[in-house]
This record gives sequence, structure tokens and C-alpha cells, in this order.
Amino acid sequence: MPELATLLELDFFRHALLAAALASVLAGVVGTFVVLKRLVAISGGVAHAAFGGLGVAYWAGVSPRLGAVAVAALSAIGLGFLDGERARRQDAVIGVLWAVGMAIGLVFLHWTPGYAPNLLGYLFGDILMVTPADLLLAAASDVALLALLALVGRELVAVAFDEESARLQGVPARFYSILMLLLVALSVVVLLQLVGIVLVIALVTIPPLVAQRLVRSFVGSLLAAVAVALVVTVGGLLAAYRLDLPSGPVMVLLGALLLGAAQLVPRRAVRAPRRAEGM
Amino acid sequence: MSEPEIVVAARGLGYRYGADVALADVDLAVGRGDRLVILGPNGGGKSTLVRLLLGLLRPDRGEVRWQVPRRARRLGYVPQVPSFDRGFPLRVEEMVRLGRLRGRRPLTGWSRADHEAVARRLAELELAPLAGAYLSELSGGELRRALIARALVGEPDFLVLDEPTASLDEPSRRRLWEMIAALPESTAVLLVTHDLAPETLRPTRAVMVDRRLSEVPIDGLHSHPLLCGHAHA
Repeated sequence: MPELATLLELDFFRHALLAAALASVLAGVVGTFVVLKRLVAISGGVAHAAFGGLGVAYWAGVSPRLGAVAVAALSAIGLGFLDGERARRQDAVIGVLWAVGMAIGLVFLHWTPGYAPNLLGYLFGDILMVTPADLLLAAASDVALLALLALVGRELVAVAFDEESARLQGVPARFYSILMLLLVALSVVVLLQLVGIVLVIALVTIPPLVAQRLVRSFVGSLLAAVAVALVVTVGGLLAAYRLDLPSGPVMVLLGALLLGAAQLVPRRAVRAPRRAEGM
Repeated sequence: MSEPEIVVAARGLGYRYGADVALADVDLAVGRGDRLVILGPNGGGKSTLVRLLLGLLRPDRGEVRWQVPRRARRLGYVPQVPSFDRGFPLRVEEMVRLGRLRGRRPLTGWSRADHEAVARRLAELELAPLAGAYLSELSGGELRRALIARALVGEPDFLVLDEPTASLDEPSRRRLWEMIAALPESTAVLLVTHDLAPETLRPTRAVMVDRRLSEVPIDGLHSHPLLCGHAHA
């Protein structure tokens, strides 16, 4: 494919491909926890709240990414501390966070003097504008995530599966719940460059959903989610180039297509033999 | 007979769900080796009480005091309704193994003792052929047996069974009572039930919970009106 060879000679395209690959690890791994622990709405709230931080940071003349990560992390910690009666109102809190974050971001971007920043880039992503600093952040996030999994993966799984039981086993469940939300916040900020705030939720939900449809074991679905995320991001990037469309929405639509196709795979075909694996 | 050493004590305990009072002014102490039966009508606050004792709920009033620090407690709990999603991609043996998570250090794998303890509990509950099955593939009774295995596999010294026999067939019920009878004498067992046949558990105490708590005499407990007639008794 000569066109691809030509594209690969371009720095910005190589950076975009690398960013897609690095982001796939985060999307697949963190997304698996997001889907299994039902953190999808929280992730959406954190992503949109991050836009508030982004706008304020832009207005203040500091790195917008820094503002986004700070607010995303604070939102994640705040949501992690909701308990008792307040936990029952979590969906309302997420709704408020979602709308207020967006509103703050838009107001501060409006107040920013000089040229208006590329709002669409933040909302829908612009992977072709990836900088070496973005790549470094994505790579560092991947390394940190994999190190965490190696260290406390078992505890994270225990808390994601049954927080009450983990707590009774002496596992600091709230700490791990907040850690999970912080990973979501970190992923949101890294994935922001690819698909933007509005579509970021798709990248942490679609690949794990496809994977869990095809693979039964936890580790298998984790690895499959990374592979699907890779297909979605890299495939979406190439398809967007071919079709002359913005890459973020094409990635999301490609993911939706894969999710639809995965529904056609009969459940029975992937189910383990029920009583065949006794001791 | 000397009083057993107190493990956990609740004083003036109260809990509300919104405006509804679930428990009010409850005092209860559980000692080492207690076999405590908790009776009460549906919605009377039995499950709320045990969840408060375990620290899964925070009381609106009163306090729960444990004599041992959180890290030193070995708790086993079979909830009335599991709080997890059965679609979570875990096999039965993996789920049961999580009952031995206490005191694990990061980066340490499961030991041979862990694998053996899981295998033993699965065998006792006739779940060995289902060790590799996913939770979503289990029937209600099989899942309940897996939950019992998880609660027992960590060798608890404080075991809470909230309606453990719901959806269990008769042989499974019998095995459960045998396993409870085989626990060390020092293990405190709290049993929330409507199903207490004479051959099952020999309680040392019984209480009735209907928003408030009252002691129930052990004599004649099995014919208490709140207990189901046991066809096999």
C-alpha cells in the first residue's frame, strides 16, 4: 500500500500511530475495569469535568493538559468518597459535574484573550496534532498502569468484583476504588488527544464490551480489549485518512461496528464447557 | 459456665433507610464461640443488623465496637443477596480463592495451601466439578454453595450466614450444617434464618429483630412461629 508507506514517512502520522497504540493499552485495561465495575457514567462525568480544568488552565496560561488532569483527578477522588446516603445520589452528582465542568470550560475559553483555541480539537480530538510530550505522557501512563497491575492487580480485581467482600478480607477497598477512578481520570486525559472529551467514553467502553463478548476469562478479556482498542484506534485513523473524515468520530464508529459484529457471534460458541474443568 | 470473651458489641444501634427506621436502640454483644440465631419477620432489620456489625453499613446512631483491630479479624460472610455482578468473568475457584485474600502482600502469588483449601471447600460442597465454570453459569443453589465456600475458605473466626439455606436442596443443607458443626469451637457464628430444624445448628443464644432486639429463650426455639415448618425434621 504505497499511500501508507508515504504516510509513514511523515513524522506527525508516525506520532499519531504511536499515540493510538499507546492509548490502546490504557483504553483496553482501564476500560475493562470501567465496564466491569460499572463506572461508565462516572467516567463520562470525569471526562466532562476535566474540560472545566482545561478551560481554566488555558485562560491562566498554563498547560491545558495539566488543568484537565488536575480536575479529573479531583473529581475522581470526590466521587470515590461518596458513601452512604450520598452514594445513592451519585448519578445526580455525576450529572452536575458533567454539565458544570463543560460550562466552566466554555466560559473560560471564551474569556481567554487572543485567538480562540481550537475548541473542536478538545471536544472531538485531533490525533494528528500529537506532540512528543503527549507520547511521553501516554507511554509513562502505560508503564505506570502495567506496574500497578503487576503489584496490586489481584486487589483491584477483588474490589472491582465485590467491594464488600474485599473489605471484609481487610483489603482497603475505598483506596482501590479511588485508585481505579484515578486511572480513569488519567486515561481520559491521555485519550482526550485521540477522540476528545465528548467521545472519550466510547474508547473505554466499546473495546472491553467487544472483548467480553468474545472471551470469557478476566485476563483474556483484558488482553482482547487492548487488541480491540488497537484495531479501533489504528484502524480508525487509517479509515479516517482514506475517507477524509475526522479521526475521532471514525474511531468511535469503527468501534460501534465491531461491537455490532460481536453481537452476531453466538454466546455458546465462546462459552467454556460447563463441567469440564473440575479438579 | 463463664461468659465468653466478647468479640463485637453494639450499643444503642440505629439505622434508617431514608425516613424508614430499620433498627432502633439495639444492644447486642457476640462472644467467642457464640452460635447466635437471629430471627425476625421480613423487613425487620436482621440483614441490616449483621451488615452494621460487619462494618458494611455505618450506623446512624450508636456504635459497633470490635475487640480486635480490623486487620486481625477473620470474617466470613454469606450475604442474603450478593452485591456482585454474576456476569463478572471469574470462575468459581477464582471467586472462592478471593476468600483467602486477607493479609496478602503485593506481588505474592497464591500458595499451595490456598489452592488446597479452595479444593477442599469446593469438594465439601460438591462444587469440584464446577471449579472451572463461570459464575454466570451457576444455578441459584450452586452460587449459594460457592458463596458458602468463599466464606469458609479463609477459616473465619466470625462467620455470618444470612439466610444461607435459601435455594439449597436438602443434601446441600445437610452438608452446610455439618461444615458449621465442624468449625472450631471458638468460631462465632451468626445465623439469620427462617429455617432452623433441630438437627441443624445448636444455638447458644437466639434473638428476635423487629426494628428492636429482644432475646428469645433457646428452649422451644425450633417451634418458634417465625421459623418455617421443616418438612424433614
